[in-house]
Amino acid sequence: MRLSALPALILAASVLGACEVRAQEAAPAEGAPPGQAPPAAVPPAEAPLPLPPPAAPPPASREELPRESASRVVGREVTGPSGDVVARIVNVILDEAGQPRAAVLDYGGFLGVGRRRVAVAWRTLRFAPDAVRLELTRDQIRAFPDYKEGEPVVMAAPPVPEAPPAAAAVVGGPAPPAAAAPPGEGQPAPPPGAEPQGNN
Amino acid sequence: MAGRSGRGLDWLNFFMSNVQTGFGPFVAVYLTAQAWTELEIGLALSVGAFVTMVMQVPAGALVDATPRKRLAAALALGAIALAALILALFPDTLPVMVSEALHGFASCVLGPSIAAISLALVGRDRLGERLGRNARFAAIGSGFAAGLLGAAGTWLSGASVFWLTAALCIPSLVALAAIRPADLHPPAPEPGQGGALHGLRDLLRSRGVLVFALCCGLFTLSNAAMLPLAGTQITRNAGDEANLIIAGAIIAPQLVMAMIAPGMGRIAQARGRRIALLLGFAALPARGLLLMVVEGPAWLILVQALDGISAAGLGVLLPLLAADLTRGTNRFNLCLGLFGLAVGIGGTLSTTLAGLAAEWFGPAVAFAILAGIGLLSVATVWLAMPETRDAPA
Repeated sequence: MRLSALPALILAASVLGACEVRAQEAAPAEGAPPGQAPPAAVPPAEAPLPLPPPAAPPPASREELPRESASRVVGREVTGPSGDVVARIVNVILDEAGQPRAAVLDYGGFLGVGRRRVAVAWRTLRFAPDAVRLELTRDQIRAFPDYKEGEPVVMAAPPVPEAPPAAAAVVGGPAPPAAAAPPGEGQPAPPPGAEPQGNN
Repeated sequence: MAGRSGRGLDWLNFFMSNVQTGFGPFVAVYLTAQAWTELEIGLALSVGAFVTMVMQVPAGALVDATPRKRLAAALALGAIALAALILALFPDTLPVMVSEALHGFASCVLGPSIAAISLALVGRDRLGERLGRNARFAAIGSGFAAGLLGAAGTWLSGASVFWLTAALCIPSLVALAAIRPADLHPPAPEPGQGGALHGLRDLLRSRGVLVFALCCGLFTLSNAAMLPLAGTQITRNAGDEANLIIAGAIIAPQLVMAMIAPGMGRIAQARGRRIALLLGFAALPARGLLLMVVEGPAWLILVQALDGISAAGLGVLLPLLAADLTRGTNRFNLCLGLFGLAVGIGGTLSTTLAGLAAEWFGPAVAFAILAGIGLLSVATVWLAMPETRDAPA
């Protein structure tokens, strides 16, 4: 029941935000990088007491997350591999199980000009208390199709070189620029389909 | 020119455009950071756009009606400062909408009252030059503010942009106060012309007013979407340097405008309005066609610099023609409001049109369509716009 101990728990609802509830964002509560516990994290909030006294249901139970271990997602700045701010998260895409699959970003641009809306696979984001880091460079995302509401979500995922260790692909500094377009073994095509297995 | 009052007007234009820059792209960025959804942001911004459009003409009539243009400008600046403070303090749905509406209305008053002060300060004969100077200082001001506010937004906080915007209203008011009322000699209207409604009917019967309103509408219909479309192309095709290229594409036209706007005013004064208009408008289709074909950052920025020519053309000629076309009446600001409305309609349709065209047919076709509309606006000026410069001057 008590989940406050979960280390890097990200709560998408605005815990500290000045703004009130925004319906869809309330759902994606998830443990980001390790990804073992998340399924357990969601249900306990709603399903505490099954006994139904027809008159008045008991008041909601109270759970807390420590301030440093939880933050909202929508509206947060995203830094690129070089440490510059490159984007802002504007939405989170969930699958049927309520698990976050992609983040929709307002990417690039200057003074609002030239901003693009792209979806990136959730696993390309690394969440730290002070920053969200996107492990794809600008060069890797360029020419990637934009995110469009109401169409199948095409999201940018780490390139698939040889083996699934996705995180390793980013560390290789010189590789990513090349991995963007030229050796693109169908780079734009596989991510949406290849996604489910690659994650866990 | 005109000593202290003239310099006051220079700085008023500079700080006024500082303040207005704060309400540009920063609002959407700020609200996104407050976890607003795209839909909510769009709604709040369209409230502002709608009020700005609807209030153009009434606000113009209001400024015409008051003999105290400085007071009108001061109240408008105060209202804009208030709108900025509301944004900084209460980023919630209702306050943001109120702030947007307040800013929209105040802008409709501020622009015309500054133009009216300019006219009263220098008179019709030197208005072209004066408006060129206004445009120069406004261009420098918005370039400067984009850098300053952008830095504040990046390194301080989203809200700091609006604190700073509100603070910049103070030097604006100081500059306004430096304009001596004794130096202002508003042209005396001929007596006996009914109310504002009557005036509106008169204006709508004037061929020059109608043709130029059409030109304004076509101009922004072609112009407004070009930079955003080019920007999207740049981020899509350029890699890490994309932001620098876009910054260049935004700043280059401001520099060009600051350089040539006074010259544009002098041309309008000495050689006639039509020549100046054609110069400014012709840069528009040229830019559209070039954006269609050029590649490479340096070329893009160079082509974008053409925007400075057309912006200077419209920025100087719009108030100048409004003054010409309302000679001997008290309808200057009403006429400005009409042109402002035409500009607003064109701008609103422009991004939608270009967005759809780009999605269906690709960006090259979208640029071609925009260039075509630009060509149409040039043709309208060429074929239908009468010369409005005073015959004896």
